[in-house]
Amino acid sequence: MTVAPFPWVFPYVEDPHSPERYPRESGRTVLRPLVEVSLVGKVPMEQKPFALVDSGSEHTLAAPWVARAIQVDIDSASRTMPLGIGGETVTVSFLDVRLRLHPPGGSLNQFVEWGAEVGFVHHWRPSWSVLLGQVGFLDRFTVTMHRGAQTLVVEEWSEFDRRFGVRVEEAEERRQRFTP
Amino acid sequence: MSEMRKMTPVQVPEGVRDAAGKWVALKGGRVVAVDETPDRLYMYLHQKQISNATIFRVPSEGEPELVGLG
Repeated sequence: MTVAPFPWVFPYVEDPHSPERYPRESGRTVLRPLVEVSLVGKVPMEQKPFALVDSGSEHTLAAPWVARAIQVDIDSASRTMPLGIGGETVTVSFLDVRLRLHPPGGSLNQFVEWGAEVGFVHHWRPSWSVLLGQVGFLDRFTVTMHRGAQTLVVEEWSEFDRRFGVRVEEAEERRQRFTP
Repeated sequence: MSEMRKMTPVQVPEGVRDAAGKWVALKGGRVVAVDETPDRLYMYLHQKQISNATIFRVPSEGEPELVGLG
């Protein structure tokens, strides 16, 4: 199945309880940069859970039900590490899986796919099921977010250089660029 | 200046707010399944041979606005 070329423009998604959250500010909405992803382990997911794009997260994380859906065992994680989440320290289990990003309005059979280490968190609170962070997502694409436009745009990794043409000096030595 | 292209926002359909605190599956702009847990919802969709749905949890009434992982 053919997939639409980049850029993929994702409209922000409104929190269903937006009006109650800001009762004194008419028209204010809670908008989030959510995209649809699916993961592939021993089997591919049959559905597309919402994923929050979080530039402040070093890691890409997922809910435990996602691990069960793709039939991977969190207890067989290649690496575990403590992370500070919501004021608490929790142990996160990392597994190598494949991720699929689906274009806006696209079907399960339309995607770009890549491999990444995803951390599975045992106690998951958010309404989204995946958190796409710096490693595992933002190192794979050029991502632009604009609150005014209420959109998130995903483009090829190399688009950043074409548009901005800048390289951090440290990247030449100890922080070398990750090239997918 | 390039031409401004109109884009349809992601609509949260009627009925979603009634599922506060539960996991929902949306397909074709409507709710196709609701359950208490994502595992049961996923299994239900599998048994009904429904795929390609968008899955998320509707926040509970009064649930704090979450950031990141909350």
